[in-house]
Amino acid sequence: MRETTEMLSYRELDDLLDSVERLAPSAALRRKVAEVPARLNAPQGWSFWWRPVLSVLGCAVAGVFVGWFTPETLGGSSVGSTDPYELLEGELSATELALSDQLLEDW
Amino acid sequence: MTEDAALMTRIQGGDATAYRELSERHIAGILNFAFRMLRDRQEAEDVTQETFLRLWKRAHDYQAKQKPSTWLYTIARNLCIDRLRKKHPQGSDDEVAADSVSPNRMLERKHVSSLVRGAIQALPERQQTALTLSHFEGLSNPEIGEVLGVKVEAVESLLSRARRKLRTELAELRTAGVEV
Repeated sequence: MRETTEMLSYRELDDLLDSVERLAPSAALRRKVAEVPARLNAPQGWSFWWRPVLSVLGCAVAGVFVGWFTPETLGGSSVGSTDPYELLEGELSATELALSDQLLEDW
Repeated sequence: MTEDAALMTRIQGGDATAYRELSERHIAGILNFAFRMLRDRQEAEDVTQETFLRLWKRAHDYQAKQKPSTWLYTIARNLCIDRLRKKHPQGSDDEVAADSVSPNRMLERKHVSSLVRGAIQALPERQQTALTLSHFEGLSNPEIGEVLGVKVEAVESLLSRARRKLRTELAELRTAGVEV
């Protein structure tokens, strides 16, 4: 430790500390800081616009999984039916069906 | 309830006007505090922005027993320490920015203000924070204690050690013929 006599006095130290200039916040910094709430609350680019679209798609996928949406509930045909006769109806003409009915009766 | 505390309550309720008012009151203090810690204006501005970003995002974390200003300085100090640690990854808390200012290097610098800032930054981090908050930002010792998480007696000790070291270090200026 140096001798005490080599030290500045408290007054000299305070004067030196007071000589240190203060920074003034720039207008750009003030603006950036002031805009924080607006920036954080604002829509975040493309994800904002796609959010409702993704929500609808998500609901649709979830609906299929839980059985809300089936061909019947959507008003479509019975595609996907497991009844063999119904399946045949979709593939065969009326004549062919009548013939097959006749063959079954004969058998 | 102080004006700052009332603003803080409104900010917790999502009042952006109160946020702007509180940030305007403390932006200069936080900027200067960060600048004295980091000695880099751009970094100090980044820390200032981040501090107020956290004020808005984490307002619910604020506890009324602490003054809003000391809460802000605590956030700013932690951000500065993070940056100083990245610059000096091997240093401990008290070693951060504790490299000494040699007389020769000091003589190379012309501007007294710059020399004083250098000497302040050469102090151990907690002494530096205590001195900066006390002398430049006008915080009381109990408030500084809140920022540092120490008792008032410890703050007094830190300030005393900081001043003693600066009185010695800056005496080099007088020895070198710089008008003090």
